[in-house]
Amino acid sequence: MDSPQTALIVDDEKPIRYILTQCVKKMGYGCVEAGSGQAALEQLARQKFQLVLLDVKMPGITGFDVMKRIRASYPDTCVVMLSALSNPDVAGRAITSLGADAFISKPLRLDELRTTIRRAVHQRTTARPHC
Amino acid sequence: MRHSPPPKRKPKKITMKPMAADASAIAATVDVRTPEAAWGSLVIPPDLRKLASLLRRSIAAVSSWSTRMQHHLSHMAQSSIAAVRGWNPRRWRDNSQSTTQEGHPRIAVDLSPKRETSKTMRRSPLFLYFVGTTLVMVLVVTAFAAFLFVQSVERQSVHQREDQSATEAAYIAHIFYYTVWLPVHLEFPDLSFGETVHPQMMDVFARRSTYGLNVAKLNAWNLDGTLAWSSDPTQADSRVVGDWYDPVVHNGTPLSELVRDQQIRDLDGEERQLDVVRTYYPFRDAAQDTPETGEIVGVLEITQDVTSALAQARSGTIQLAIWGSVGAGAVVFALLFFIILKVDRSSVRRYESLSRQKADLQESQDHKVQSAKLAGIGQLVAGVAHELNNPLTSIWGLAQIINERDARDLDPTLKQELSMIHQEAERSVGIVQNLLSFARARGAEMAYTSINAAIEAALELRRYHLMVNNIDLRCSLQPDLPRTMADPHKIQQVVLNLIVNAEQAMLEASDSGRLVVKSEKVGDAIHIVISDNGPGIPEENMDRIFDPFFTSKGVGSGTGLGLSICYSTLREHGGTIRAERNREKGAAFIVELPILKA
Repeated sequence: MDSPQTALIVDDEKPIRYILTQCVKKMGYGCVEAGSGQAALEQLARQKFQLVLLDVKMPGITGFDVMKRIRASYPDTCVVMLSALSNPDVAGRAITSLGADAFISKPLRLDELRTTIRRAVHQRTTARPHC
Repeated sequence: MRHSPPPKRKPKKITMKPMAADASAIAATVDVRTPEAAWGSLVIPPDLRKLASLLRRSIAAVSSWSTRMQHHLSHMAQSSIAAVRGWNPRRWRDNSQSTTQEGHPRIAVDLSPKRETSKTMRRSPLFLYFVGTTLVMVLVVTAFAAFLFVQSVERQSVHQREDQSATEAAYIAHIFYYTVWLPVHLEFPDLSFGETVHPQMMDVFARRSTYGLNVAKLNAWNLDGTLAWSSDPTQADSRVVGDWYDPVVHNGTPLSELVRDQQIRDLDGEERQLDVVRTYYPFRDAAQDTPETGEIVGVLEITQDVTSALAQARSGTIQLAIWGSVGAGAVVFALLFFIILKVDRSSVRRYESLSRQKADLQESQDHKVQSAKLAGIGQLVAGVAHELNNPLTSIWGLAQIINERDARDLDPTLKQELSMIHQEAERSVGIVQNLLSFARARGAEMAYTSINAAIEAALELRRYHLMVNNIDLRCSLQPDLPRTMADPHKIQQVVLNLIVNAEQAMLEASDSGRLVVKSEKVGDAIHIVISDNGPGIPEENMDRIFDPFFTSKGVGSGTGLGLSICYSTLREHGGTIRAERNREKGAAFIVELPILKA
C-alpha cells in the first residue's frame, strides 16, 4: 500500500504504550497513542487507522466497548486485542462475538506480537468483509 | 556518536538476588542522574536515557509494590493459619520453623484435614447390667411362682384328699352297717348305738373291713357326746373334742379335715407321728343306699393315714415345680436376653453408623474447607498475578526492546546488565504464569483416556533431562490398563510434576538416581506409583507437602504450588494422591484414580 499506515495504540499504561509504539513503529506504522477508551474514540473520529492495538481492561469505557464501536463504524480496521487476563474464554469472546482479528495476552513477547499483527493485517486485507 | 573514551569509572557490579528485595539495588546501579559522570564521556542518545529512566521507574514501582504484597500475603496467610489452628499468631511467628535459612518468611498454610481417631466401641456395660438384672429378676420371680404353685397344689390336694376320705368314710360306714349294725339289730333291735359297738366286733371290723383304706384309728361316738368305742384303748378323751359335733350331728353332713403330725396309736398298737385325715361320719340307721332316710344314731370318727400319700404328692409337686420353674425361667430369661441383645446390637449399630456418618461428614467438611481455602488462596493469587502482570509486561517489553537495539549503541557492560534484567524479567513472567495456572478455575475436560498414554507423554517430555542427569528410569506400565474418564492433559501434568520433583530431590542429594514409574489396576482403581531413591520426605513435612506454597526449597526456587495443584487435580477426578516413605530410601507418590466408564 502506498498510503501511510497508521496505528492507534490504546492502553491505560504509559510504559506499555511506549513498548507497543516502539514495536509497531519498527514495522513501518505511524503511531498515535490513546490513554483511555474515550481518547481512543476521539482519535478514531479524527483519522483513519489501519491497525488498532486495543487493551481490554481499561477504566471507564472498556476495550470491548471500543471494539464494538470500531466494528460498527470502521469495518476495515484491523484490531488486535491485548489483555492481562489470560482466560481463554475472554479471548474466544473477543474474537468470535466482536470481530477482533487477533488476541494476544500479556505479558507480551515482541516477536509474537509482530507475528500476530502481521497475520491479522494480512487476514483483514485479503479476506472479504466479514458480516 | 562515538568519542575516544577517556579513562572511565567502571559501574558497580550487580550480584543477582531474588527480584523483590534487590530490584531497587539494580535500579540504583543504573544511575542516570548524571549521565556524563556515569558513562564517561560517551554521549547517551536521548531516547536511551528516556528508556532507562522509564525502566528505572518501572522497576522501582514493581519492587516496592511487590515487597508490600509479599508482606501482606505473609501476614494474611499467617492470620488464616491462626484462625484455622486457633493459635496465637505471635506464638507462631516465634516458631523457628516460620523462616527459611535466609530469613525470608516462609508461608505455610496447613490445610491437612485433622481427623479424630474414632473411639473403639466397647461392649456396653449397660448391656451386662441389664442381663444381670434380668437374670436375678427371672430367678426371683420363678422361685416365687414355684412356691405359690406348690402351695396351691398342696391345698388342692388336701381338699381332694378330704373329699376322698369322705367318700371312703361313707364306704366304711356302709361296711359297718352291714357287718356290725345290721346283724346285731336284727337280733336285738332295741340296742343303742353304744351298746351295739361291741369291742370284739369292732376290733375285727376295724382291722378287716377297712383294709386298703389306711385307717389308723377308729372312734365311735354316741349322740350324747360320749365315746362308745375306740380302736385305741388308751384314748384319753371320752368326751367330744372339737367343734365337729354340731355340724355333723345337726346338719347330718360328714366332716373331713386334714391334720398334720398327730400322735396316733394305730390299729397295730404302735405310736406313730402321722399326717391324717379325720372324717366324722354321721351314722344313720338306714339302708346305706338311702342314707337320708335314716335317723342319725351315732358318729363314726375315721382317722386315715395320708402321710406317705401326701409326701409323695408333695415331692411330686415340688419336682414339677422345680422343673417347671427352671424351664419357664429359662425360656423367659432367654427371651428377655435376646430382646436385650437385639436392642443392644441395634443401638450399637446406630452408634456405629452415627459415628461413621460423623466421620464422613467431618471428612467431607475438611475437604470442603480445604477446597474453600484453596479457592480463597487461588483468588488471592490470581489477584496478585494479574496485578503483577502489567508492570512485568512493561519491564519485559522494555527489556526486549533494549535487547533488540543495535549493539553499537550500547556499552557492552550495560548490554550485559540489561540482558540480565531481561532474564530476570523472563523468569518473573514464568512465575506469574505458574501462579495464574494455579489460580485458574478451569474445570477438568474429561475424556475417556488411556492413563498409560498420559504417563508416557509426560515421560517423553522429561526423557532427555533424565538421561542427561544420569537418572535410571524404570518404567513398568500394566499393558492392559483400562481406560477411564479423566483429563489427559491434567494427568500428564500431575505425572510430570511428580517426575520433576523426584528428579530434583535425587539430584540435590547425589549426582544420580533411580526413578521407578509404575501403573497398575488395583481393585476398582488405577494406581500410578512414582518412586525415587532420593533423600525422602522428612517425617515432619509429610502432613504438609500438599499444602499450597509449602516448599522445602528456599524462597526463589519454586513456588511450592506443584503438589497442591496435583492434589486439586486428583480431587477433581474423584481420586487421591498420597506420599509414602520407601523402605530403603527415597519417597514414593501414589496416585489413585477411580475407573469410570464413559
